[in-house]
Amino acid sequence: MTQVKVQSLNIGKRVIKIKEINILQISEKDNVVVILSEAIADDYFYFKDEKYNLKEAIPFGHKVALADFAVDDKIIKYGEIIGIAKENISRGSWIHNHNIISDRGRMKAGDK
Amino acid sequence: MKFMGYRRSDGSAGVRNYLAVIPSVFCANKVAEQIALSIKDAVCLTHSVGCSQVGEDLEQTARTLKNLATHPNIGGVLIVGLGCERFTPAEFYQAVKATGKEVASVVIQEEGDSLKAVAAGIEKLYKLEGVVSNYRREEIDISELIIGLECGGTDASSGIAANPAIGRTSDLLVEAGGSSIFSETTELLGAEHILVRRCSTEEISEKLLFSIKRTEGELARSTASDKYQHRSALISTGNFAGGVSTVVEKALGNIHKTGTAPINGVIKFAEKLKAKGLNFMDTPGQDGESTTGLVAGGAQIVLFTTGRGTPTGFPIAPVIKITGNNETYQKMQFNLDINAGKIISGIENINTMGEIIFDFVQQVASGRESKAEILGHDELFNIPRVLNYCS
Repeated sequence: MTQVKVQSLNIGKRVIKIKEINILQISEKDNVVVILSEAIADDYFYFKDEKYNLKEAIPFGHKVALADFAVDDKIIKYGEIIGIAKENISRGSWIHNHNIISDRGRMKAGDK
Repeated sequence: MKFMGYRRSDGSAGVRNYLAVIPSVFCANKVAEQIALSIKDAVCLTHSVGCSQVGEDLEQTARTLKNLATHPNIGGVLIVGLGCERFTPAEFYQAVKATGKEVASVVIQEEGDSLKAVAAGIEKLYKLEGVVSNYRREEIDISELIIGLECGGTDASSGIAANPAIGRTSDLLVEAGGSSIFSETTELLGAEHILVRRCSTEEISEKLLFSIKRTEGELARSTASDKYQHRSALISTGNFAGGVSTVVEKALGNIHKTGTAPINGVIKFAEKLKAKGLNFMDTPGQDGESTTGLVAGGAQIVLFTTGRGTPTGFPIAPVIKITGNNETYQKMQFNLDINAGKIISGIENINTMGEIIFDFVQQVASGRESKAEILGHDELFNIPRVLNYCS
């Protein structure tokens, strides 16, 4: 696991610490990784020598995009397709049920 | 490897020695409860079924109640009937008696009224207690152990820590000649192509795929109306908050519970295991209904992973709670037995945590109480319906 490096930004009275965070890629095929600590916007991580900055706050255990996705692009975790993008998603964004969907176990839009 | 358990007259082995009171129908629930309250440590398995049922629906209720009453964790059982129910107390009594288990019954309409039935029931339960308390623990081979693999209150840590850890525990038990059962058909959608590769015969993979297809068809049918567009999520608000975005993501994390052993059998809800090793039971995804099926199927102990944290237990079987979330473990230490979050912190790995859990399972099999037992949790007894008459 990577070392946590902290730098401070003074914004008014609040001190927001931009930090390097730990992530987990479960399968080599995955185009998302799991955040292993609570993270805020601008927190960053290095993955395969590339730096990724988070676009927004992402809670522990949630996913972040390793690439830009267009509508209907496949989202891969555990080496398998877990859903498709509902909207355009940019690298470093939070990936969750607001921007991805799976039709398994429910009536598909065209079936009604 | 051995554990200290109870040898029963039908040859099976229990990890607990319960004196149980089981109603054949919900109408007898209060009488059953009042009888059980009068004798120390008796457990009462009240439920909501037993009458106005037909066909496979009635059969599922009958199978569940018979297989629980004959479960090796129970040393003796008192059946409490009303007298006019479809699942008759006589059929229930005969099924239990045939296994050689100590059993008695009391029927309210035969005794006269509920007060007389309570009085008669207490006397019968008192006599049963004398038999049950004579059982002593003896050495039993670990190969006679069956564990249920359950999860509830899932978050993203379950799929990367707690589930792979109990998957390793399941592999260790199977390697030692024992068995484990996974269930919850709704939690397999999207992972079936991985599971079929592990089925030991073509017939088993076909049965597994059929269960998933049937369940998915039912789900699609019942969520088809626009009226239910906000009630169509297969995963809970807590799952979402915990970072699980889709049912497929949940399934891919879920199947890590099954380890790497071949799948040797597919069984119906609450059906007793036929094959040794890893088995799949077709059950609903609700924790209580699934756990009820697993225990009725013969599981003496249930391993229950929970990222969000849940305190629940089962009345006649130890439920061991394992979380993959360090924060949840700190918050719910009175409810959670094992912190598999140590995998995420880098203190343990999946293999070492699997061994820690296997060691804990052996201690629980020999008498150590799980936290759900210490606190008396028994919410997981819940018999599902096959037919539902409401529209």
